[in-house]
Amino acid sequence: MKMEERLNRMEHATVPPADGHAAPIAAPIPQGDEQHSSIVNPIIEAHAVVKVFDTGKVKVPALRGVSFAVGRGEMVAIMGPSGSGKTTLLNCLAGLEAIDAGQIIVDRTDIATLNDKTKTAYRARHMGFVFQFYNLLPVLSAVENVELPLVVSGVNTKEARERAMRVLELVRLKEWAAHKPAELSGGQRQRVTIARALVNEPAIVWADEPTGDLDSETADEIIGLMQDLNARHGQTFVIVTHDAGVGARCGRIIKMRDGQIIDDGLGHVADPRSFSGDGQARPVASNE
Amino acid sequence: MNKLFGIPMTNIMVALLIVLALVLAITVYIALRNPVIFRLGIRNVPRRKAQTGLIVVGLMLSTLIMSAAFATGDTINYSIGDLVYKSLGRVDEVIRPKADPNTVGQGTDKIPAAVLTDLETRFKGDPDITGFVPSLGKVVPALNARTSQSEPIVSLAGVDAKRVAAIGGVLDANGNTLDIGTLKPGEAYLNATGADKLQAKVGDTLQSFYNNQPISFTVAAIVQDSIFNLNPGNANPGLLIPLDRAQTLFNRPSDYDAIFVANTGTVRSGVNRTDAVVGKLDPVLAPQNLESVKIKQDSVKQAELFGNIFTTFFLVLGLFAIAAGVLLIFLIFTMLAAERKSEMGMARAVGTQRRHLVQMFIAEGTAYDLIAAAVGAILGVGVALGIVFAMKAIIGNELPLSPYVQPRSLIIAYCLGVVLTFGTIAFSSWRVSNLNIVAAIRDTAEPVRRKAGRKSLIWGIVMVVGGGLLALSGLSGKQAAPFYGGAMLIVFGLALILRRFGVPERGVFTAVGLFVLVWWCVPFSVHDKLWGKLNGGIEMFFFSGIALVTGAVLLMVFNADTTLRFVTWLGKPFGRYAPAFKTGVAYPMANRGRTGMTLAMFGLIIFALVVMSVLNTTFGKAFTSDATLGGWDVAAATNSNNPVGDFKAAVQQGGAVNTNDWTALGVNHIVYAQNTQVRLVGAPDFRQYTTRGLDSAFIDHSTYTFQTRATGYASDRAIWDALKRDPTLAVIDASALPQQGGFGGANSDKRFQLTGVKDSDKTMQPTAVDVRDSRTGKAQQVTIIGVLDQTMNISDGLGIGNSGAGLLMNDRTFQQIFPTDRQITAYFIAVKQGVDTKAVKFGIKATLVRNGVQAIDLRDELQKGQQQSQGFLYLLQGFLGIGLFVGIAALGVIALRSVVERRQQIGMLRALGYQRGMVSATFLIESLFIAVSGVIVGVATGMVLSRNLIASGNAGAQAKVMIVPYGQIALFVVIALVAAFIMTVIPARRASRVPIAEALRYE
Repeated sequence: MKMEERLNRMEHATVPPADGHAAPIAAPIPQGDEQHSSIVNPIIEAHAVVKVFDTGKVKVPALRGVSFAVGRGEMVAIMGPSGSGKTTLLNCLAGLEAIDAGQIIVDRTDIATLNDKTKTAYRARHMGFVFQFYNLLPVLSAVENVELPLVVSGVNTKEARERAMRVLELVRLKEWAAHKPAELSGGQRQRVTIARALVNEPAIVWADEPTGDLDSETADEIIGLMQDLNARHGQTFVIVTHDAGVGARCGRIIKMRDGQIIDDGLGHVADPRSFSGDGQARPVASNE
Repeated sequence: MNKLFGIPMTNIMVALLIVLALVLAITVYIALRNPVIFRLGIRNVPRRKAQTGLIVVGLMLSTLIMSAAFATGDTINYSIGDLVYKSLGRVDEVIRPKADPNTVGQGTDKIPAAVLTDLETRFKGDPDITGFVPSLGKVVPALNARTSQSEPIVSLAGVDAKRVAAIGGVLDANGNTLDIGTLKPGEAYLNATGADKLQAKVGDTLQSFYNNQPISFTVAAIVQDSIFNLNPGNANPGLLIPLDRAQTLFNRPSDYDAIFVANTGTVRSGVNRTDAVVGKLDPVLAPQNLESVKIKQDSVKQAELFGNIFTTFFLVLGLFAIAAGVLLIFLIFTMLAAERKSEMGMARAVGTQRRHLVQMFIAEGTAYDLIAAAVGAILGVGVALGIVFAMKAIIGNELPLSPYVQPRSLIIAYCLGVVLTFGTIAFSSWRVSNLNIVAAIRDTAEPVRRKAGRKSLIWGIVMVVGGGLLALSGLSGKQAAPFYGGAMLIVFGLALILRRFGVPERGVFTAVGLFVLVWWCVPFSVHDKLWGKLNGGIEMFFFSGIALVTGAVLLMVFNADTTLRFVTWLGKPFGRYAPAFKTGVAYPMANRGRTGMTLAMFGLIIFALVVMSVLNTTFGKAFTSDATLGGWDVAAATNSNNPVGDFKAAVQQGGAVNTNDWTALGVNHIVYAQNTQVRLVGAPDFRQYTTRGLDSAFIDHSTYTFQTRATGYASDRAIWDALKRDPTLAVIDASALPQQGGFGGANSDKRFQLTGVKDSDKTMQPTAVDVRDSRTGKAQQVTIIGVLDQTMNISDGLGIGNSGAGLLMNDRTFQQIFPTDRQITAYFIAVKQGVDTKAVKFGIKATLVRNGVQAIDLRDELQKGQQQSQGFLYLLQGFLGIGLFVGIAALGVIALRSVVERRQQIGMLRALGYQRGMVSATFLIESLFIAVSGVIVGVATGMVLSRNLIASGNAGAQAKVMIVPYGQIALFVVIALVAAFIMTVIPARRASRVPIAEALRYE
């Protein structure tokens, strides 16, 4: 399926609001696993996800039974203080990190049940990534970096190059295509990263602090670009950020603290009692 | 060994110990002056154990090579020396008839008995001399009827029972002294070699012949090999009988062949008095036309010379590995610096001086260095052991090798290793400490410099000026090394100057690479035309290798995009693995420094292996082809003590060989060099040279070829025909040319040299020489009209021609010069196609065993020689191949480092959809790409140099057509690639198993 065709279909599936953001199709949802029922057509569903990091000496719980959902075409920000589990949640949702308990369904696929090979192939076809430090391959030019996911997916080199150039044009970097990352500014590098994330026409784009390494003006430009792409092509964006400004420009903000979602952006706020004096949070959607 | 490159080893050791002390002093100074910096450096050592292990391996290789070379030389030296001591026992000097090539009428080959009496009287109670022991012997054949074993050459020696105690007596196998005076008539002692070859035991009766008369001996005891029966290093079967019986048997009641002199002291210490003893003896001996020969001292020196040759040869070959090792050390420290770039940037930001960084690296490097050199020195001894065992397998029992290493050699190898490594570490530390602080803190690439700094200009000017002066001195002195070295310095100096003026790096270094390649690839004849013929030795092999590989590497790394495009295209058919090809090549191509160094390491070693293989195969073929046999199949040498008479008739009569199968029978009469006197007409002094008289049949049938023909002779055959027609003509073997023979023995002071003709000359002017018999003074003038090709193998079964066939002339002239009693007769037989030459050889030996005729199958001997030389070639290649470990270790270092360095990128690639296999493939392709590129550089440059060397004749005039040993080269390539693959498998697997999320968090 061609990108434009796919994007058109997405446009029909979502109704962008007047401000250009893809609005959640769902109404506010109740606490716990029940909340998923309030999202119509969810593309991401997390059910009581638990992730514990074992350092050998101590076990550090990073996610404590997180449950939430993201609708198709949504642009969601995940916010919270450092160590709240934002990046871990994103990594788990993207299948980059295994979970210890719970379930993650992405586009009707249970990520945890896939083996490494299938999961990798799945990522190549359905997901795009944008990270704070760009993570571009320094030895390849901008266009070579962008076309990499296509080539990995088996697209022939000629077509891959054409599609990469089209996406670079989309992010206004066509004329920088032959330049290596070291020759680009921070904003340009992040745009290349976005282009790389989009070139495979993924259903979901994961972004971890996409503006964290940029000045405010460039950050604004980048988030505007993501908004624009979300609005025009209906791809789901899940953005982990510290920046309240970035969060404000997303359709929904999910707030986290201590490995828990304390506000899912749909009107469900965690019970303050669950954050008792021991500092240990209790889940928003507990099974109690 | 006592000298290296002419410098006493003890001096080298002392100098190196001083430098080592300096190195340690610097390190202690750092520790005391900046203890924090010192600790910072030292603490890095145990941080990553695997990496530390790899660094120690990398750093130790140079020391290992040197230690192995020294220990091999020590073993050869010790083993030959040991053989000399064992075979000579207490004998330190030998008194024999004088062999002065400028005096005639001498050389009765006999020492009157009165001389012995006189000496004993004169030197009674001399503090340096223990005693004199006369000897009289002849070569006879012997048969053991019980075992049906026979030996054509057995030395039958008379031993003075009263005096033999002075040289240790006659000892049985258990070391017990036997009294030879108690032997009954008809009894003899048989030495161990004789017992072995004749499969004889005590009580056996041996049948022998002297002057064609039968003599029988009953073996009374088996005794140890001794001076009476062998030359140093050449054990002969031998029989010992009391001296008076030998004198009666040989009808020489009042003279001896030689008198052995035993100095005061032990077997090993007596030699220290040799100079004093000779100083006393010679004034007494000279008036009687006798001389004392320093047999033990000369033999020990010869042993040392052989040891030196081996050490030097292994060291020169090892230079490639040592150079690669230096690159590896540099690479390791560059990568260590890369790993700690942020730390170093931070340290500099908070006020650490650049010198502190240097000191930190030196502290760390010295720790590695001191350990690595010790490991290398010890492992080098292990490698030397391997070499010795391989040599034993190659040469068999010809030389018993006993592993031995002098502590001094180990100290030198250790010190050299430490000093060389320290120097490299100091330089690399200085280089890596030069960093951009901001870029270092952020761990980003160093800012690109559009043009080089002022230092570049200064260095450039220094190199151009220095190179110019060096080149000029080379030109004026006709020396290749300084000229070519200077030329290369000029080129690189110019490059630095151009960089200073902003000429792009790529253009400058591509041009330099191309220039260097073209310079070294054009045939040497072009250079000869441009600069004239320059003299160079084996150092040019090393030098050209460095230059060619550098040129090729520069060309490759500065034109990475072309390579990248090519390899990406190659990867296309591999579908989803195509990106792995791209990234696998893009990374090394982006890291020019480390890729270039690793490429050079592989390139250098493969280059050396290829050149050695091609040259050795080409020369091996040239020396061992059938053409070298000159059309002859079997050679037989007669024993003058039992003349054969009509050789062909005698053989035919025996019935074992059908002489009708012979197509030709040529006869050579040979006179040993010491009985000849030869000089160029007009030259003041005579020299000595083995001389042969050739009969017409030999001349007619011989197809030996000539490397140099006198003007007027259009073909080799024309020379042979002229030799037959004109008895005033002669030809000579190539070892008579200056610079032939080498290593001291062949070109000794007394040996004749045909000056004025070079090895590479195709034509020469006819050269007249005087040839004289040393005893009678009879002389003839002959004109040399050709130099036999060095590959020609004119053997004769007695090893007389081993150091060269000699001066060959028409037998008519030869007979006019030399008396018949001094001549040895050798027969050359050509047989019809299909005739079993081995059967002919054995048939002749069996038929003429009573005459002590020795026969050899020429082709068989040739093949044995070929196998031995092949064995040595493989051994040398194996030694050189150790250098491959350097390149392989470098790949391991790079791969391990890359996994750490690119952790985040690996995470990203995995997130993007790279399967684990693709990540592994990227690393494997990367290593293989570097290894393959290095191999291509090495093979291509090696082939070009080999071709040039062979075409120019610089490697020797004998090889005319280059023969490429594709199988051998393929083997090196496969070994290099497989090793590179294996070395990268673990890092590649580790990379593929990097946890994605963790890697993405990694900074």
